[in-house]
Amino acid sequence: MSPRYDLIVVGTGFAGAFFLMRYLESAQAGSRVLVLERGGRDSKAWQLQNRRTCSIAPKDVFVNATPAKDWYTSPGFGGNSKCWLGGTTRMMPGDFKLKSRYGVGVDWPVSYDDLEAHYCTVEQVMLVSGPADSPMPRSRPLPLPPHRFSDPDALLKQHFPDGWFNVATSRASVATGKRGVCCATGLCELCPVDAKFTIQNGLAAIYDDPRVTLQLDAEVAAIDTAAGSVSGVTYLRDGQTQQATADLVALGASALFNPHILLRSGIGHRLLGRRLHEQLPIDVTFDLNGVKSYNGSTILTGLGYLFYEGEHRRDHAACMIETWNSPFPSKQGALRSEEGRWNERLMIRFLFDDLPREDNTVTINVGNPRLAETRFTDYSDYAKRGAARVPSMIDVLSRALPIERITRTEMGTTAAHIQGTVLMGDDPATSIVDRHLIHHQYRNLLVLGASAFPTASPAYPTMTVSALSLWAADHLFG
Amino acid sequence: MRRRTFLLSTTAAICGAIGWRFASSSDESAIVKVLHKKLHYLRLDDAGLRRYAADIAGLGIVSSLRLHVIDAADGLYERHTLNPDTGLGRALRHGEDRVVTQYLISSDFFKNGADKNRTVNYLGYYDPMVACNNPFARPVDAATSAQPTGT
Repeated sequence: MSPRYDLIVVGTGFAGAFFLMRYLESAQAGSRVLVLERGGRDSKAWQLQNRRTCSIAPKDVFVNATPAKDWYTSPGFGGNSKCWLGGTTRMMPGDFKLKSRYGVGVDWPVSYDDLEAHYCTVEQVMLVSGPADSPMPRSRPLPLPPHRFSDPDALLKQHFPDGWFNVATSRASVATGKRGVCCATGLCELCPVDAKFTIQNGLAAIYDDPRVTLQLDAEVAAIDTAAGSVSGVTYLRDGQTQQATADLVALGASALFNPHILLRSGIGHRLLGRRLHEQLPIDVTFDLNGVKSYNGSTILTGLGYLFYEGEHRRDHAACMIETWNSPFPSKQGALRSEEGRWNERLMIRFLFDDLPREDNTVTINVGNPRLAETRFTDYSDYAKRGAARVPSMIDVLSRALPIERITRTEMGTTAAHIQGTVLMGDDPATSIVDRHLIHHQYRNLLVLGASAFPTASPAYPTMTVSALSLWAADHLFG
Repeated sequence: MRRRTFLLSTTAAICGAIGWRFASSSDESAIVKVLHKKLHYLRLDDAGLRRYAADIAGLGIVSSLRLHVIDAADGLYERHTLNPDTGLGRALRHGEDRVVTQYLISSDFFKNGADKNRTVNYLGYYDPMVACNNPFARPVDAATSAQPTGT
């Protein structure tokens, strides 16, 4: 007889953790929750000692059929919270309304206003630092003061007061009592002072709740169904096939593994596994004339919204600009050699949103069905038209920055985000989950996380992933 | 016939010389050359320089092929600088800057206030895991009273 639970949550990254956090706030004392995590619990000490964020190698969980396009993931307890850089931008209101405002892509079935209160909650849990001013409407200030600008940021802010902002980040700007203060060491994935928010340092307590049973090294083989609803989960652990039943299953793996699990379960849809996407990154390094850089207080100090919202989105991708504050070669940085001008250099990343293509996919690997397989054909023409405008954007930035020369221009191989593949929408014919992330066909199955994203947005996905999990949990339990 | 033989043997000799120079060049030697050239305005401790070169050779900070070309070019490299606005010049400069960066942050140069009158000593390969050693970063606490609103 399979053990029975009220809820099974698959995955311990942002999506699963924030959903579980909200569920436990309203669940009864006798509730039973099973949490299944594919990887182990690699402690911070283990990560630092071994200089990697997880004991599972990416090749052990997915095959990249187009290696020129990287996908960055860190399986195991805490999921991608272990390897993220800690960027906590919200999406802009227009990101949710691309079709109705700009006539491109699709509208999300949720709006910025639907998520605003949840964004605030996530920012409070993560103790996000950031500016008092903001490019998007917000009902509450960020909990921690902003990180310090570098000198180039200060110039950009001076010239573009409504277009340039201190970065919003979970890399602590001041002491929090729980985490170290970020000191711009340039090694965020493994942060040696544990300054960024992770599930391990911020939400681990929910897994110690007596109502919760956490099973590590548990690989979900299938979502079990019976009579039109989900009955539970079959998983492999310790070499044994095990089963658990539940009233509700919340799939909270990443956009690589949510579709893989659904495909293996035979829960199909024409669009399942399609529309894999992330932002298109272009990195440009400048030599500056007489302006010192790298003197902010964190790895990435400023965000530019000059080319984000606006009518240009009818024709080409929106852009969010990052100013990098790391001179270290490990982050593609470098000092200059000339005497006294060592830090008169700046790296900027231009991040463009993408309109997902159906031929960018996650499928089941034929040789080993336990592995997901990614295949990336290309970014959309919409994103590439945006990227083609980088030279004109540099012209605008040069009004604020004394640019001596461009030393390097390169398209990044990844923005370190994985999105799409289990599309959210109102119409079951053109989407897989509804606006509350409930599967259109199986109404006691949720598919959480960035897999639901209908479009990319230039902003980082983590805040929206986490806010959506709270939104979904509130709908069911609120 | 004699002229043809002469041309062939000359070409073979030149190719042989280039091949020999390339084969006998090394990453370590090139790294030392880069540092002497790019940091000519500093006094660098020679033993430390050699230790640094040995430490970073093979780490892939700059491609080994590029380093071998630099070492083989020898005096040509030391006396001439490619235009940094050309593709080749830009690529070479990027590699040089990475070698210089790793050296400077691995040395006592910034710890000594970037004083060019003091000999620069290599302290050991800079490890970002040894936290909070960014020579330029300024913490928030010191900034809040000095920065205008919004910074």
